[in-house]
Amino acid sequence: MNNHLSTSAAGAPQPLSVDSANEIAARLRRRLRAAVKGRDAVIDLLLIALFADGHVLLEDFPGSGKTTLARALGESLAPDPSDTLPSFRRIQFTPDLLPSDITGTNVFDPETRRFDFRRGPIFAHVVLADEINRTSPKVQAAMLEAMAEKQVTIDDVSHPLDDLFFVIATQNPLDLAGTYPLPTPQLDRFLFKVRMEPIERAAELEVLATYPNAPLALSAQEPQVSRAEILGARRAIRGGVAIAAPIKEALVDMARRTREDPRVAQGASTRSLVLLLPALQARAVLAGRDYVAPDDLAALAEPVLRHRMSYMPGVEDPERVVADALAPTLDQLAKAGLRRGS
Amino acid sequence: MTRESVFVRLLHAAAYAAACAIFAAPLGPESTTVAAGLGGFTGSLLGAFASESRLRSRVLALGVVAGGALAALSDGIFRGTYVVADALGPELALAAGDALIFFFLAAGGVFTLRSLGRRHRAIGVLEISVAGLAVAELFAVHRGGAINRPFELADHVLSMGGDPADVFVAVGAAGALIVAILLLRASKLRRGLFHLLAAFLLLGALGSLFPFFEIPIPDVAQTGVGLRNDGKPERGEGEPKDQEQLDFDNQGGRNNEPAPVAVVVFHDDYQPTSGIYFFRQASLSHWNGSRLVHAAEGLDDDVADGFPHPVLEVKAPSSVRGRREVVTSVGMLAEHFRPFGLDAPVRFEAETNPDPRRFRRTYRVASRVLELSDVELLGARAGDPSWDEATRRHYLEAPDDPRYRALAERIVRELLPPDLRDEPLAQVRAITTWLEREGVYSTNVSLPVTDGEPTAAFLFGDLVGYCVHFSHAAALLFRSIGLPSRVATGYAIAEQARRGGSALLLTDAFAHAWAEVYLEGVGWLVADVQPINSLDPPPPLPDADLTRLLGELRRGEARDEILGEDPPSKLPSLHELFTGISTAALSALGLALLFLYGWKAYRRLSGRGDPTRVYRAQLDALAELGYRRRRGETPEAFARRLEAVLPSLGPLTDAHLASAFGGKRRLDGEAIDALARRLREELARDKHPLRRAVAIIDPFSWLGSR
Repeated sequence: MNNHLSTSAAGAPQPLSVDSANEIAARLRRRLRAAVKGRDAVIDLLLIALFADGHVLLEDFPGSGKTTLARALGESLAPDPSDTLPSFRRIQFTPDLLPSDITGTNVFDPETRRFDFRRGPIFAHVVLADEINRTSPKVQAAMLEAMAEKQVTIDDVSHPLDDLFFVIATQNPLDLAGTYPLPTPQLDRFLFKVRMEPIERAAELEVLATYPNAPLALSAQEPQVSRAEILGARRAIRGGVAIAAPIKEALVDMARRTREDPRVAQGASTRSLVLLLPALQARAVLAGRDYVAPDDLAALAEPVLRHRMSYMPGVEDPERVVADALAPTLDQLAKAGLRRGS
Repeated sequence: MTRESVFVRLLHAAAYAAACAIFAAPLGPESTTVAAGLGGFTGSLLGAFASESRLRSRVLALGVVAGGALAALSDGIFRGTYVVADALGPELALAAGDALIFFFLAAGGVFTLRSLGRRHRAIGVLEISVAGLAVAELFAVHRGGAINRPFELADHVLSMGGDPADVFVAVGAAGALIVAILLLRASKLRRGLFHLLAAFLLLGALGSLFPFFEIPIPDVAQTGVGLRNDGKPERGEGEPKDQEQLDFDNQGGRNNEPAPVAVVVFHDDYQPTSGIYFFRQASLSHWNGSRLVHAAEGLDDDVADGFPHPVLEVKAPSSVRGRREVVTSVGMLAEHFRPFGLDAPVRFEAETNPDPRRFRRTYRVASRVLELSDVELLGARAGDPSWDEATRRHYLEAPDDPRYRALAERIVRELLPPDLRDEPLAQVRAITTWLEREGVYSTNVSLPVTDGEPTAAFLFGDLVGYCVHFSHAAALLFRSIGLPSRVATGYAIAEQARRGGSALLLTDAFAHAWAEVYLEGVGWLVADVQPINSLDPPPPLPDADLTRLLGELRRGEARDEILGEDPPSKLPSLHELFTGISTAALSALGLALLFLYGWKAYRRLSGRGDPTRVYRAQLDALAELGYRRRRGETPEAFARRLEAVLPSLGPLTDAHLASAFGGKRRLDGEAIDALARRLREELARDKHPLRRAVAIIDPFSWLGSR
């Protein structure tokens, strides 16, 4: 059957250098920035998650460009001749959705008199899970299992998903009636939880300026990126970007600070630190470096850690907690750098 | 509210303990003083903790009420019931009760003050005034520059041979330090220590100026009992302006605070029959037509005419009948024209001055004091048979005014029974008694302008005057009925001024003039007039402690009892101390500066080509000009912030980070040095040369770079 889904058949990604990984990331970034105006920070986070092999949860209002963003990402992937998977799928989550609606199901084929597996919309490279908190926990669990394991299990048969499988989930932060909020362990499946702020005035005007053309037309000027390139870049980043000992020490110390904070019920977990490492590497590459620098930590600590911690009741400013733990960490890191380099 | 360090907290507590102890010291025995100090210490610590708790300020204010309640409770238990008294014994129970009351009152008050003071700045001001009041309280008794107070300090210091003034200055400085500590709102230990050190060095620097400007000595002429009478020579009622005549003019308003002029130490016990000690210094017996003035050479030879070198015998001593020798030592605190001695001095001997800073002159006098009562003196004839006619006439010379004789005879007739009317002593006593009864003492006199005979104007006028008037009136009345007499000047002081001790402190308020009559075989007999009615308040008796202290100083005992003969001062002089401190401070400062500059130069110049060390050197240069990485800012963010002004900082930062955090692409040394050079050029464009010059001088700049 669909053995082309196995990674080996699709061709092992060529080992790439950090420089070429940077080039790939930069190309993707240019495409996305051309398609979506005023979302540079979100685009960077999206790309970091993509190269760090994580998923992203966007907290946003309808009409803020998230579908455009996800579609632009999907369309940036060059169609692979050996690949039957669509590059982009969107799933609108509703309360009456069933797990099989997203994963696919076994269908009886009267001709062959056998049950054939029909793949659900989750079988795609980039999946936009729209309003993921509107569906039942059962469907959420299936979705999140697929995200964590990169496979779906139907009738005791596991169907692997592609290595590139990348989920952009969204939820509306205000319209909470009739929703099933994601519990913290499930939020943990997302590398980043990104709150999108309204875009700048100039960027908004730019969006309107593109009106007669299709929104994604501009991005077509840049060459697409192949699936193999992305997977190769992931490997290059994982192996080629240095994480110095002081960075790791700073991470541990920062996590300990969050645990000691009286405003925090449960501080940053060890796993969140482990997840942070590839994200730091990815960001370093995006910035054109081959080492993780303090700036990476400063940029990623908040989106990685904030949704993984729980706060004491009555805490009004959870966003300050990470910042408060981060500031002394960065000072410590700068000092360590000055000591270490000489 | 920031947290305080333990050090600052303990300093506060110690300051409060000292303040409470000072307040409590005059109120009770030592046990209560210690208890109050402990209470202040405890209250301060508790208050500091409570101020950080979630208790409301209103609750904290109740601390003073709680302290009062606990004090009342312990009063009730320890002194109101028999329970404790039975267990401890009444004395111990009473002492413990007192101590507990002081402890709780101090603890409660300080608790409230301290806790609220930490929360509200306005109450913090109260804290400071409490400390200031404590220091003021310590010195309140010291006002007027009295060296004998506070006793605990001055006695000890004087006995060690030091100058109490130095110690007072030191205590005042310590008080200022306490206030500074209370003002310390620095919560960090390091900053607290730094402030304290700075205050201490400032004090040291001020103190080292003392040798140039001297510690100010209070003006004794106005402030009374002082360290030493450094004013103009003593000038009392008895000491004439031109040395030869007494002043009949208005003396009113002269008398503010009496200044000490001399201390007299008795070597033999002696109580005068009249209850008053007379110290004769000079005598006036020559009638010049308007008043009595100094007699010519050869007369009044029982008065010393100069200071002894080393011994001065009086040429014409009084007879020995009925007299006994009494030896006294005199220390003059103010300059005098001639020595004086207890009536009647016969021999003066110079004595070594035990404390030249205190005494101007010291000598020893042997006096023959008269111990006969009036009854025993009855029958003595006036004058001396050995006198020649000229001498006799000299002592009887009087104005031609017949009213003197008429008055004197009337007094004798009225006051004396017929059998005593020819008795010279009885006549003397009758005249002085009459003057005492009829006259009114006042230094504020208004004599009518006369033809130059002020005594008559006084005697036949309103009889209001002071000792000069009374002594002249008495002497002239004596002379009018044939009693040889003169006026003597010196000091007269009541016996109770000794207060049972052996020392007498003379102030200028006790300067006096009195009449004397010569009796055969007795010598000059004091015939003083002490008017019953006085418009002036009696002069205050000298302070008993000051008298005792100066007496000990005069005897040289104050030192001898601790250190033996010729004691070197064991206390370092304040000047030396301060000079030492400031020398040490200056050299420490110099060393520190040298170290700072050296380290600064090393950081700036070392490590060419090494990205991190070059980066650090540039960070120092930036910090010097006020560009510092903010807290929580990454080096990259710092570089981005300054990108517009210093575009070369970004690449340099990257080179440093790559080297520090394991990047593989490194810049070579030359490229790094080139970047640093460019950065310096950018800085030079950005900042004024003057600003950069100031920055180079700043020795601390590199401390702020991060």
